[in-house]
Amino acid sequence: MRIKYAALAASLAICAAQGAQAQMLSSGPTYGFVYGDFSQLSSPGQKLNGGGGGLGWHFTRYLGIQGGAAYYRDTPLDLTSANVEMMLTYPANDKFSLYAGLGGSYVHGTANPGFGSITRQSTGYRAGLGFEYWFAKPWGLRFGYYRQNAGGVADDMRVGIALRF
Amino acid sequence: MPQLLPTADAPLVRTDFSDQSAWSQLLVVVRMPSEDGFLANITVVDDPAFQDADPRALAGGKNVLCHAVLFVADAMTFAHNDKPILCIAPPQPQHTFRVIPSQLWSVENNLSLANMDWEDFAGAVDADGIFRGFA
Repeated sequence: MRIKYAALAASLAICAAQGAQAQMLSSGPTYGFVYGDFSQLSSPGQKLNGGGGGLGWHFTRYLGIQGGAAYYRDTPLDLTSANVEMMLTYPANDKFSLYAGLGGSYVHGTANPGFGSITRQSTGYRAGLGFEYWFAKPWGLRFGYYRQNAGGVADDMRVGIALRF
Repeated sequence: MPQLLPTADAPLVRTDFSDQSAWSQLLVVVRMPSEDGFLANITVVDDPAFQDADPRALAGGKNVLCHAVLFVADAMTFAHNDKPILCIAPPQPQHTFRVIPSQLWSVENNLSLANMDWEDFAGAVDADGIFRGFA
């Protein structure tokens, strides 16, 4: 009988520990986050590497908004982009969630090739898919793949980390 | 000299390979959108087989005749401070002018769509035969 009680106590302890772990990783219905990422912007015949960051807020478990900026440089081109987008999120479990983003992008580019400086700025749509993997309560990995058309069609692949609060 | 392969967009052929950096920078400028967001629709041909190729011979190729304009980045392009690209009318290769990289979109867009005529650009070049935009 003592063995049964001991096994039951152990089971309860394990369940409690798992619950605590789930509670630790669960984000709740709303939370904010900041992120930093590496970005590769690809357009026909050209690839630009850069980095950036931003912040966002999940209003509900499924809906949120995020915005950020990134900077790219590849002589003779300097490119800055900013974006704001709505996020539709599907949390598969406490750690992993998929999201789709739809919004707009602003791009400011300057080329100084030595035969005349050129500055251009454009706005356009931005849409993509991504996922988040929260390996601890505050920290997570992010991956996103976007297509945007601001001064030409380009694909933006991003990998980074996020901190939520 | 090899023939140009069929291309969906107007070809930009490199025939001078003396300055890789200048070529890369030229492409960046050519690919930048205009202030109104227009982009040049071109197919870049960067093949040493076309080194020092005769632009008129290129323009006479059967796969080029379907295009309204052929662009050539030749020795003069890279020797000139403004990097002017040679524009040739494939049906009439004796008709040429040059365009600075940042205005190539204007030549390509308007000639490919037949929105403007060759003479509109050829008549708007500066005294040195280079089109730098409409005043």
